[in-house]
Amino acid sequence: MAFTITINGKAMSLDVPEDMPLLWVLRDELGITGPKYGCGQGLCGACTVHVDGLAVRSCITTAAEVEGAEVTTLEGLSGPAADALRTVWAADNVAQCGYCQGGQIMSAAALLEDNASPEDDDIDAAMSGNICRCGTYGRIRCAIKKAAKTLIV
Amino acid sequence: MHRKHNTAGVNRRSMIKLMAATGATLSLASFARTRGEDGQVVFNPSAYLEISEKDGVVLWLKKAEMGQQIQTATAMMMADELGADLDCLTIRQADTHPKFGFVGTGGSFAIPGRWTAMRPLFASARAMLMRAAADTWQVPLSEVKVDRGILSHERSGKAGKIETFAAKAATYDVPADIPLREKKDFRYIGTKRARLDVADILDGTATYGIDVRLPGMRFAVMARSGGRDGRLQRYDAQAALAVPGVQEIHVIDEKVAVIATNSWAAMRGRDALQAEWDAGQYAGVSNETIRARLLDAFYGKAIDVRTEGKLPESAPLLEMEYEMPMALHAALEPVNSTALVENGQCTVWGPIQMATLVKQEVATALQMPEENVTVHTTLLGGAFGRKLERHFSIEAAQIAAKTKGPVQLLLTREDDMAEGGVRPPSVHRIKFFQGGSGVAMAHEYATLSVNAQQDPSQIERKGYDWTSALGAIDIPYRFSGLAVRQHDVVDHSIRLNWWRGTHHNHHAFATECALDEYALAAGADPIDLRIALLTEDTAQESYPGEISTVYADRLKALLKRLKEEVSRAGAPTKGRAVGYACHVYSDVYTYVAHAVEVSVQDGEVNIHRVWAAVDCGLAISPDSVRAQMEGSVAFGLTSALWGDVRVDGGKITDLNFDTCRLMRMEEMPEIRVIIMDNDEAPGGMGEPPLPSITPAFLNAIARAGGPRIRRLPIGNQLQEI
Repeated sequence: MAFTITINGKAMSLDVPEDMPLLWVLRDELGITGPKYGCGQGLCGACTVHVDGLAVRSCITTAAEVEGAEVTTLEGLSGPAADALRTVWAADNVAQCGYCQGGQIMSAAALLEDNASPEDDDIDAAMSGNICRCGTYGRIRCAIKKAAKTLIV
Repeated sequence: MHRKHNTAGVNRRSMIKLMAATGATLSLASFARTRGEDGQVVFNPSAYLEISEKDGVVLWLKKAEMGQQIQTATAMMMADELGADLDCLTIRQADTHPKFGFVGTGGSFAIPGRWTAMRPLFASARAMLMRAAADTWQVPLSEVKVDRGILSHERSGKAGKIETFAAKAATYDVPADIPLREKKDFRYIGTKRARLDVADILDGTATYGIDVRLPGMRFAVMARSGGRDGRLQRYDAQAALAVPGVQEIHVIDEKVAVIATNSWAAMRGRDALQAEWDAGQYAGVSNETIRARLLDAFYGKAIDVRTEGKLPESAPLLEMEYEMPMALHAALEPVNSTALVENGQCTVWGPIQMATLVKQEVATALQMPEENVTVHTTLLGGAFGRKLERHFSIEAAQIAAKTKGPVQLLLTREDDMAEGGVRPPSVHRIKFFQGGSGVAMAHEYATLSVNAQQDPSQIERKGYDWTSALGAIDIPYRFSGLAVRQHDVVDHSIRLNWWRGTHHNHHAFATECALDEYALAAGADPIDLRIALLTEDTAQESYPGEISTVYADRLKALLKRLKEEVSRAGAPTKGRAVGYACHVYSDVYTYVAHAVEVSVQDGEVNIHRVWAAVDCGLAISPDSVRAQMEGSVAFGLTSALWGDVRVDGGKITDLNFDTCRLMRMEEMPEIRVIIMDNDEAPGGMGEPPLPSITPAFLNAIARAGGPRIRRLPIGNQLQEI
C-alpha cells in the first residue's frame, strides 16, 4: 500500500504493507537506523521516535497509523531541547554501549519540549519506558536536569 | 629481529579457548614501512599504528567496544605513549587479518593487557619519530621532545607535526626496549575525556551489528525449535514464499532460514512456515530437573580446589546453603551477523566478541580455508558475554553460502533469549567452625560446567573446570582452616555460556553472605571482621599455569575507606541498615567493595543509597571506571531482584522483557563511587565491579529486618514471610 509520511522533514511516498511496523519501514526500507530494535513489543523503548512531536514506540506503530504524520528520528532531531541534551550527553559521557541512547534522547527531548523544568517524578514517568541494560540511568537523569537548566537560562 | 612478548595478557585467557598467537608477538622490523594505495610511504612500526602525511595518526584497535569504553581508554594509553594528539587521530577497528594476532575480547583483561603488551610498541614508534626529527634537524636526539602530536627542539625553535616525519621514521629499524613514559608525562591517562565515539551515538550514525547495511543486502531470520534440539518435521515453504518480500527459503541444520527484503517480512514469512519439530531429547528439562542434578552432585566426586590448615572435628557453628540461579544476558541489541560469500571468500560483520573464533568456526562450517574468511567487528549494543558465542555468525555465513549477495541474519528478542547459553546455576554449602585458633570455613559447591560444553580440553588442565572455581579458589580471608571443594556437573540439557563476572558472582554471593551471617552470629562488625581475617596476601593459580595474588593491604585499605565514606554520609539513618561485601579479581588486579543502605517495610525493600568502591590501580579513564561502577550496580541489583531463567518442556520461557524484568529509571538508587588513588598496574573494569553488589544488598536486607535470602532471585521472598 502507498503511504505518504514525512520523515525528518522530508515527505516520502512509501509502498509498504499497512501493518508493517514503522521501525522496520525506517530501518530496512529507508536505511534510517537511528531507531533500534530491542524487543519488538514496545517494552524497551529503543525504537522511540516522535510522531507529530509525541514520543512513540515505532516497533508497535504501523505504517498506516502514521499516514500523513510527521515522523522524527534521532537523525532528524533538532531544536533547543535536542541541542541541550546532546551537549550534556557528550560532556558527561552518559552513554555506555549506546544502543538505547537514541531512544532515551528521543523520550527526553519530548519531555523537555513539554516540560522545561521536570522534577524527578516527571522524569520517572517520561523515561520509565526506556530500558538501559548498561545502567546509565543516573547519568540520564542528571543530563536531563542539566539540559533543562540551560534551556531556562 | 624477533621479539617474544611475555604477554601476561593474551596467553592466559584460555578460558575462552585462546589460541597461542598473540597480537603483540611480531617481527617488528618487517612492519616499519608499508606503501599506501597511492604509493606514499606509511610509517607502520606495528600492526596497530600507521602514520602518514595523508592520513595522520591511525590507531588500529582490536578490542570489541561494547560499552566498556575500551577504545577510548586504549587510545588514551597509546596517544600518551606515542606523544600523539588524542584529538587528532583516527581509530579503526582491526579485522581478523593475521597481523593482528588473536582478536577477541573477554575476561576483563583488555586494559591490563594493553598496558603491558602495547605500550612498548608505541614507545618504539615514539623513539623512531624522535630520531627522524633529530636527523632531519641535525640536532642531538636527547634534545628532541614529542608532545601532543608535535615534535620539537627547544634550542632551535624547530617544530613539526609527527606526520611530517613519518616517511623518514619508516626508514629505520624498529628498536626494542625503549623506556616507557612515566606518569608525569601523561597528558590523557587519568583525565576525564569524552569518549571518542560519542558523536556517532548522538546523531544516530553509530553502526552496531544490526545497523550494517550493504548494497543489495537482504534480511533473514530462522525458524527454530525453541529448545536445545528437536528435528524439523514439516514446514510450509509455499506459504512463506507467498508473503510479500520473502524471496528464499533454505533448510540448514533443523532450522529454516527465510530471506526477505526486510526483517519484518522475514519474520512474517517465518510465521507462515508453521514449522514443527519433534520433542527432541531434552523435552523433559525444567528448572526442577536442573536443580536436582546440582543437589545430586553433592553425593558424587568432589575436587579439592583449595585446602589450608585443618577443619576442626567439632560440629559447625553455622551451616548454610546458598543457591544461585541461571541468568540471561539480555543485551539490548539482539545477536545478529551479516555475511557475504562470493568467489570462495566469506566476509562476516557483526557485534562479535571473538572475531578470530568466528573466523575459524565459519571456515569449518563452510569448509573453506581460514584465510578465506574475514570477520569485521562492529560496535556492540551490549554483550555481557552473550556475544562470545559464535552461533549467530556461523548461521549468517551458512545462509549467505546458500544464496548470492550479503544477508543479515537477525535473531529476534525471543530467539536471542532462547538460543543463547545461560549463566550456569550453583548450590553452595558453607560451614563455619569455631576452632581453638580462630574461625575455619568449608565451602563446598556444585555447579554446571560451562567448559564441558564450550571447551572440554580446558577441564584436563587442572582436572576440573577451573572456570567454575574463579572467585572461590583465591578467597583472601585467612581462616584457621579452609576447605574449598567443587562438584563439576557435566550437563548438556541446557546451553551454557559465560555471563558477565562468570563464577565470581556465585562465589561472592555465597561467601560474602555467609561471612555476614557469621559476623552477625559472632557479634562482629562486618568490616572489622574482614580486616582481621586479611592477615596475608593470597596467591593462587586461578588460571592454569599462572599465579595471581590478592594483596591484603589493598583490600583492607579499600574496606576502611568504604566504611569511612558510609559513616561520613551518616548511614544508616533510622529505620535503615547497611550491608557490606567485597570481591577481588586477582587476575585483573581489581578490588571492589560495596555498601548498600536499605529499609524493609511491608514486604518491600527500598534501596536508599549505594556506595561502590574500587581500587583498580592507575585509572586510565577515570570516568569510564566510574561508569562501570555505576552500571554494574544496576546490572547486579537487577539480577539479585529478578534474575532467573525459567525452563519448561526443555525450552527457556523468559523470552522478552515482560517476564525478563530489567531495572528501570525510577528504580535506580543513588550511587556514590569511590575510586582509590594509587599507581598500581591498571586493572580490568568489565566484570570486577559486579560480583559484590548482590551480597552487599542481601546483607543489608537481612540487617534491616528482612529475611536472610539464601536463594536468588529475591523475587517475592520478602512478601512471603
